[in-house]
This record gives sequence, C-alpha cells and structure tokens, in this order.
Amino acid sequence: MRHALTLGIGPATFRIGSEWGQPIDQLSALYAAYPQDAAAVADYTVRLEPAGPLRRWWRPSVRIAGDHMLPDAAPMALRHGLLAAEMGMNLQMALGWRRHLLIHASSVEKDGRALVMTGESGSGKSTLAALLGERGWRFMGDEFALLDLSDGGVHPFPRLVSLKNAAIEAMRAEVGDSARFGPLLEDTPKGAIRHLVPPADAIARMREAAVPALLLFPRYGVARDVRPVGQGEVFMRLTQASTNYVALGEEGFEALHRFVTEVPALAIDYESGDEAAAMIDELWSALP
Amino acid sequence: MAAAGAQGYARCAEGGLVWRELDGLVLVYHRPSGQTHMLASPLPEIMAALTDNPQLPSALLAHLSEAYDLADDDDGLAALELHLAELTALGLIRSAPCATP
Repeated sequence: MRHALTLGIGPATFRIGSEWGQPIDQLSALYAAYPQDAAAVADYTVRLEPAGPLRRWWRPSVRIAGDHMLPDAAPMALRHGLLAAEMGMNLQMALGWRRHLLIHASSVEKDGRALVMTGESGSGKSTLAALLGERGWRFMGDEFALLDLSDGGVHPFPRLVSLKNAAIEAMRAEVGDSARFGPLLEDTPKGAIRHLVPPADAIARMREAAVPALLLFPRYGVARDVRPVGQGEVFMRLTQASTNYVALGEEGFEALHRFVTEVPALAIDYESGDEAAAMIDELWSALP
Repeated sequence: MAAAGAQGYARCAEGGLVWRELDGLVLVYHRPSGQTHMLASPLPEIMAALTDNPQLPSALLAHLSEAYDLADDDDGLAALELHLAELTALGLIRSAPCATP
C-alpha cells in the first residue's frame, strides 16, 4: 500500500493502508491524539483498494478489504474514503474480535460506573453518548461496548463518533471547537455523515474499564416514557446485538448472563437530546 | 401396560448442559452444539424430573403430578409427549427404548 497508518483505539490496533493519500491524511489528523506507533503489532489490517484496474484515477472508487471482509460490499466513492476506513475498522472488530463479548452499544462513564445504551440504528444511542460526553460524562464509545469475559467490566472503544444527518447540527451546537469535526460527507449510503473527535479525556482514558451500572434501550422520536425490561428480553436482545456471542461459546454465555442479572435495564422514549439527558440524570441518581 | 421397546426419555450425560436462572426463565447452554436455549415452565421442571434411566411419559407424568398441579389425563399426557419430543429434537434430553413389562 502506498499510504499507511497504524492506529490504537481502546484495546485494538489497526493498520490501515490505502492506495490514495487523502483518507490516510484525514484519519491521521482526526486521530492525532491516539497512539500512532508505526512499529506496533496490528490486530487487524484494513485496506482501501481501487475497485477496478483503472479506478485509482478514473471516477476513483474504494473497495474495503482486510483480514475480515464482506464479499458483496459495494465499493464507495473516494470522497467517502474516510467513511470506508471507519467501516473497515468496525468490520474487523465485528467479525474478528474475540477478547471481549462485543455488544453493539454506546457507553459513557461516571464515577467508575458505566451507562450502556443499545438499540437499532436511529434509536439515538450514538448521539446520546456523544451528547453526554460533552456534559460531564466520560465518552467510552458510540458503536461497541466490550464486555470483559472474566470480571464483567465494560471496556471503551472510543473511535470517532459517526454523526448522521440531524445529529450533525445538534452536536455542532454542543461542541464549540470546530477542529474536532471531520469533513462533511454528503450522499453516503447512510445519508450525510460527519465524524467527531471524542473529548480529550475519552482518548486519554481509553484503556480504563468501568463497572456496568445501567442498561438503556433508548428510542428517539416517541413521547417520554420509561419502562422496565425483563431479563429474558434483555438477554435475547443482547445476543442479537452481539456480533461474537456465538463465537465465544460458553465464555460469552456466562459473561452475558452475569451482565443481564447484575445490570438493571430500562427502555426510555424521548423526543429531544435535552429531554433524554435529563431523564438519564434522574435515572442515574436513583441507582443504588 | 406399555409394550417392550416403547420410547422412554432420559437426561443426557452429565456435564453437557450449563443451567442459569433468569427471572422466571431458565437459560440452558448446550455445550455439544454451543447453542443457548431459553426455557419457560414447564420445560425446566420436565428436564429436572428425568433420570439416567429412560422413563415412559406416563410414568413421568405420574411423577410430575405428585409435585405439580397437572392434568393427569390423556390431554396432560399428550402435552407432555409434545414437550419431550421438542426437548429431544433440541438435543437437551435423549429418547431410548424402554423395556417394561
């Protein structure tokens, strides 16, 4: 590969190679505060390759390749190269990670205790984590919560926050420093996307785990409501939200059972970020 | 009176299953397949009543009726046989010919 970058995010190290300089330059700048040790041994390789022999120059189009690949993934435009690299890194984690039980969830921390939020795309889990990260919580990740197989702790994976559509403006209003935002990527397969560099303490403390204290299933755009969620439903939904539950076998089973029986779970409906933040503060202070 | 060779049911070899409680439900991790099963009553009770020696459904129903308020009739037996067939298909219990007088 002509251009390359080695990047440490949480417990994982990635080596990202590209035929083009632009995605690597963008990644290098946005991940400036993260470990970038070229000599580090990488867990995964991500390669951004031309989609065809001439596609390096002519309507350049990026194919995501790496240790773990989705065979039918459509190539992306070079101007979305940064997104391709992020998707490539996510894919390696989702398909390859075995050191923790990986749950598709965002997480934030306060006083050593973690709030974990899971839900489908559009639930607002990513935006809520980013928002709380600017309001006194430590941002731990907007995509994956890594559950420790031996002690049940939640480990951070604080990659760049991937803001989509309306969340971009909402976070622009929240974050004063425009240098923390990546380029606006319009017309991607997921709509408009803009990456946000997590707060400095989130990056500095990205190897620091927390004890899970509350699990939320947020739902955006529905009138305010809070409901308990039964352990059976939580267990089932988390097996669906985990990309490596089956691969981890009995260790994953024990880790998830422990999480579900020790961590209270609630579903919350909300209509704005401010409303959700207030609800979360209330629920958090009511915890034992 | 059952004929010799009728289907009986028994538990599987020790160590193949990991049982965990989950408010009102039982999680069973099946080591040979790596599959997780979520069981609601009466399935855990049925499994717990099985022994290493195959028992006929009728004997099992009589045994379960002592501990639980079950319909000890043809309907109850049919329902139990359905559950036993289901658990056997999942590999959580085994069926074996049951030699009875």
